[in-house]
Amino acid sequence: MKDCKPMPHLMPLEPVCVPPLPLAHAYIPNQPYVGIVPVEEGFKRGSMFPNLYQPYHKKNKIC
Amino acid sequence: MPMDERQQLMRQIQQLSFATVDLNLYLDTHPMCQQALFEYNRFTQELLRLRRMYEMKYGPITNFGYAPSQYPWQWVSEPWPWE
Repeated sequence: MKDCKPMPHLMPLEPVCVPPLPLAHAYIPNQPYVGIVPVEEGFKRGSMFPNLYQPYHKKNKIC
Repeated sequence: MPMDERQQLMRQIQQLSFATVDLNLYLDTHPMCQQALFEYNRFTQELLRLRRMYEMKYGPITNFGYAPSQYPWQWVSEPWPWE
């Protein structure tokens, strides 16, 4: 159990005063129906929905 | 290596299986979308048709009661559906 203690440099061991804010907030935008791609194409892409197709390109890399 | 007729049919079945899963997931959160439901039903009909065609020609794709078998028992005859 001692392994489960937070890393001292990452989290203060003493309680600190923080405002009562939520830890995180997830959101999922609505997905509008804009049609689907042909089955052969969707199978290759991994999505039938053109608006969910966002392949990772190295040239768009930020860091 | 080019795919033979059996492999091409299996590929079409895999494509339609994927399409129906993806549309199923969309419909779970958009149950009123008529266009998506129309495509889902269209693909489901076609998938059933191709599965039946495959199983008539090459033997069952699934066992344990999900597809009937011709005589003799077809499940153990090669090639397996994933080959």
